[in-house]
Amino acid sequence: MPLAILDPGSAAAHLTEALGADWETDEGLCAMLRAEVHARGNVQRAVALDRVRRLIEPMANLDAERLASMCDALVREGDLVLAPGGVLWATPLRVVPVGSGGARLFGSVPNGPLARTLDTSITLRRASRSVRWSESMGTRIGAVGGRVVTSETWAGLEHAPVANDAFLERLDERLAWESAAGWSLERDGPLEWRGWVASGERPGWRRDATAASLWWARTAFRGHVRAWTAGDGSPSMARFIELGVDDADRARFALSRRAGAGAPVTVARGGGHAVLEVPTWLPRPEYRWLSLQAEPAGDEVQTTRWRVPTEAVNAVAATLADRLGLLVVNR
Amino acid sequence: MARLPAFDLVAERAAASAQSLLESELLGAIWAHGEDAWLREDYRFRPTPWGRWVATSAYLANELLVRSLRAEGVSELSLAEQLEVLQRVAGRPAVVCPADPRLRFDGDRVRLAPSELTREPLLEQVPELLQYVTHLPVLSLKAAAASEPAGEWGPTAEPQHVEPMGWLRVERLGRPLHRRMFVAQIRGHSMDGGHRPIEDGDWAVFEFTFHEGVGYDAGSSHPVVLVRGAFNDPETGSYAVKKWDRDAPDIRLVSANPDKQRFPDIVVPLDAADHLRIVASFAKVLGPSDFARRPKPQRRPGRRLVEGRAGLDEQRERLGRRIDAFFEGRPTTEVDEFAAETETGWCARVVCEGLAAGGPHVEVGPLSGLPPFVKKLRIFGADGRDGVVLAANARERTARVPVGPGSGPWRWEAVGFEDEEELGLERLAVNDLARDTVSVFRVDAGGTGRRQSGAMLASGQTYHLLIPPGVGDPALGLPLTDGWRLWTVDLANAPSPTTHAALQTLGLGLGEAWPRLEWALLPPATWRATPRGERFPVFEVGSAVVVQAHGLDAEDQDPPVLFLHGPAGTERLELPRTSSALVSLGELAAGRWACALVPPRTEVRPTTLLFEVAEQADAHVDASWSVELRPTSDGKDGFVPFSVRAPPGWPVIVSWRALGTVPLATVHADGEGNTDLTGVLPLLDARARRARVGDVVVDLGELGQRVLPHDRRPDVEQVRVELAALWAQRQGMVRSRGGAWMTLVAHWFTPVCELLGYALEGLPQEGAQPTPEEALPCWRLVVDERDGGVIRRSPSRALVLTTDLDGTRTAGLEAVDVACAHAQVREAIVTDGIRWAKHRKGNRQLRSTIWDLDAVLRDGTVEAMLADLAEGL
Repeated sequence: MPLAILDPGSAAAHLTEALGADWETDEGLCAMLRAEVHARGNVQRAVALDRVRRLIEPMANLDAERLASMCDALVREGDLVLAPGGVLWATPLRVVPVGSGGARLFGSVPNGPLARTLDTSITLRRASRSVRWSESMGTRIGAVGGRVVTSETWAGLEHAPVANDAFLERLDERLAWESAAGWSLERDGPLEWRGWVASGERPGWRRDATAASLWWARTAFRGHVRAWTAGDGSPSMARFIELGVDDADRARFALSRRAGAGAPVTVARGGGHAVLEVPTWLPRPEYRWLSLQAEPAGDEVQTTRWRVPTEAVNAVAATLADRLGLLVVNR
Repeated sequence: MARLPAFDLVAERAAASAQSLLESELLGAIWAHGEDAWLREDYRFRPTPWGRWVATSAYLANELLVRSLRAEGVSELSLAEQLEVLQRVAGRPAVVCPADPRLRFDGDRVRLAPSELTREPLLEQVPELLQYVTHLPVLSLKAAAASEPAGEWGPTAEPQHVEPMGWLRVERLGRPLHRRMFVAQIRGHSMDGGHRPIEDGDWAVFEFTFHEGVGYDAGSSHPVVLVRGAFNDPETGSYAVKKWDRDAPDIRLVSANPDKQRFPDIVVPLDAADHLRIVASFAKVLGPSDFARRPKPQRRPGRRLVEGRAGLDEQRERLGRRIDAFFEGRPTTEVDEFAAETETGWCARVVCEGLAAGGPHVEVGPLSGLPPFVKKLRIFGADGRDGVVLAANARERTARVPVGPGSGPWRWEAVGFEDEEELGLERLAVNDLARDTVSVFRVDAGGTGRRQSGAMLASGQTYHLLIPPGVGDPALGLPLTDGWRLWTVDLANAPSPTTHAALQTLGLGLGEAWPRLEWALLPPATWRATPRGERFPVFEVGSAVVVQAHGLDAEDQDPPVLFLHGPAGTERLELPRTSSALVSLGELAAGRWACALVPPRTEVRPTTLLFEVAEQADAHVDASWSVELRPTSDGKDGFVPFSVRAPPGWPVIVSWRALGTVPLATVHADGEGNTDLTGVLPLLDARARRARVGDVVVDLGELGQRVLPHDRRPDVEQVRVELAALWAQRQGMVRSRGGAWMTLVAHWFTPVCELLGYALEGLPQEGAQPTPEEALPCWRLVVDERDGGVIRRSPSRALVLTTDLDGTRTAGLEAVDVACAHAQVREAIVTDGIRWAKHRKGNRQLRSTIWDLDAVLRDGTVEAMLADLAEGL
């Protein structure tokens, strides 16, 4: 046990080796955050950020905003859970085999123990982690309380309905029995409703839409409200049912499909991979599923362009077309 | 001072004596003659520091004897030899003062007094002449256990030679020493029990059971033995000191410690006993006076002993005690500067986090012994605001609730057992914070502000200051509730004059520096809690442990020394003269460790970090989850309460699914994996009571989903009982408010129709509207049913309300038919609330039965009424 004074240079080398990533990179900061939360089990978000900042303080003053954004990325990824009260929780290991022989890793287990558990090296890309998948990993994952889940389960596709006529009929059925009176959402003041126009010259959310069934408005408190009517006017006048964000997104795709005006998904091949562009918000399960099959090819947070292995792009596009009625356009 | 002739003989006697004498011994004869004479009147005498007298010309040898005994590593010296040598060197007679409390004289032998000795053995190198006569070899138990070669069990086997660590003078053993004996220090707590406990750290005498080709019996029927074998003792591995139960049919090695979970017995079947070796039998635990002990080091006033071998030994002893006190929860028997600053257990205290983490909290626990029936603890402040802690969490570790700084005093009560005084929760009451002075919280290594009583802050530390309204400059700190402010002051570097002045306005001063020691670079693998609930980090074997020392005084001529103490020994590192230093503790062996920053000056407080290194430190989070149904006696109508276990912190979404899915709550599992469904179960119960079918969906995202189908089909008797109860309760209202349909629909018709198996729906406004003169108040009665896995709703009948049931049945049937058409059904139930009848659309001649609810309930024909009117029974 040789006690030794560390200079910043050797401390940095020390840390980089332990983290499995350069501590100054996003991957390194994510590793620090995972390790801190995993060790504690649960910790206030502000405390965790402060502790990581203080752990690294001997070498550098970390930008607090950057560290916070890494924390948010880990929460979005599912490696950490942010519970009410601002408490971060460690999460169990979930391994999702994806196409092309890889697997995505989710959970707060730090890189070092995780690599030892899986007996393989881990590829890091910002907050996400992946490995080469082999069936033999299943036993090791189970031994640390983890679980292997399919990409459909992880994304939530198993329980999400397909955006088609049956889905719209179900909305109509609910409307028939559970509708609320028009105007009842506007007790805090009138709402400016926009109706979804699926086809025609100006498809999209329109203030002047009158025969729309799907409606959206921004509330006085900067929230959003979505509703379904029988096409007899906006929820200011007509009876309606309120929709959750996922149902509303799904209804948008189903209406476009019904009108034969599904949103285009553009597939461009080249350079050993394909870029798939979906110029619209996807419902959350489909978005999560796509994020497993593809890598963001643009802005990582609000991406509309995805890089997909060429051999998998047809299957990915077909699934999206089947579930959401997207029209595949090959370039 | 003179030379008194009367003292000549006395002077000769003093000069001839090899030791100091009492004044009364020297002057006794003179005093007997009534002379008033004193030795101080004659320069030929001088007193010793201990009140005795020697000749002025003599050399007082005490100091040199003490130094020799301290430095030479021997337990005793020959007094005559020492005085002779001194006399030769000094050129004048040498004497010794026997009143010196530092020395003990035994004939010609002199040794240090017990008060000058540590509890550690003094290992010597002794000539062969003394070996096994006055001294025994000291071996480590591990080495002794390995001494007998495997595979050579039997009378011919010879112990391998084990090099002793040294030789120890052993006294009062009660029998002569012999060559099979050795001394070893006990490791572990497994024999710490019974009427003759053998405790961790004790020095004990053992006897090898084989020596020079002869095997020796271990003794009685339950001897304590040192045994080696293919077992795995939790404390020592493949060897152990245990009580051998020779009466047992198999090889049973018993721990004396009653905590069998931590210190299990070792049981080896006879057929697997070939690998077992009884290496030695235990003879006796040596008490402090039974063996030669190492002298205590000398110390200077105002200074800590941090240098040399003595400094290392002292810190080893101190940190060893600290480790024992912390991890085992043992009380310390002395006032120790390392003593824990935090009181835990059955008490509560105010702690303070940074502003982003919520500022002041009340921390409680761990409340070991809190009865299991207590599920929640509620804390009340003086302002009536409260917070709740799950008892399961508070039992095992400390739990915190954020509080307003001005909301104290605080008291606790058990939810549901508020009047139960025997729970002892009054001990958890916490006084309010002072409203006229600043409350000071020093931030510990874990980042939590612990309250301190004084108004002096130490440079090198970080403090959270809770400032009451009206105290100090209002611009200081960040606002909390009720005018309180929180100011976090980091004194790692010397504070600026502005900060210094601001602290003074708050009545706070800057005292001596107090260097801070904290973890750096990498978080530990996990954090665990001691039996008292204090948290400590655990690092994995092979991982590098790094600490940072802050608040060092770069100008200090005596920089602090960092000590590391643990299973591999004690090590020391003198820190450079800088304000902070990053220190690698290296890769450490498994075990419990203490790292202390010890300033040489006693006015500067030391800082200690305690931690553990373990082979398997990673605490994984288990992905398993379960939903457990908990049927209750009152859940007759179908809804079964349930509980959910999930990974700690994991979100559990509970929804009700009928026509659509309605998320009711997202509940996060607590630290034990339990979810608190007390808020959502009543909502589900209310929905289940109203709906005939529905699904409770428990969704754990990617971990899975469990659907709990609800199909309510109450039996006829249950409906009768509930109908009777409803009628008994509300018949007055029904009789007196005929025609007040809006009131009656809510309070009478809706619950009655639910008992009959229907839900009430308002009719759509569009379509064929009856004209006002022919209109009767009408609702649609609908039923939910499962259809191929999907729940669908369909209209069943219309509910038509009238104040004149007989008139409607004779002249008003047109209106009922119109209502049926409007509701798109073929049948209606016509009622005034008391009497109920069925009508089929278009029917004019056939008269259906009128059911008078009061009469039906009295004469017991409810079943017939239900057969006519109800659905789904």
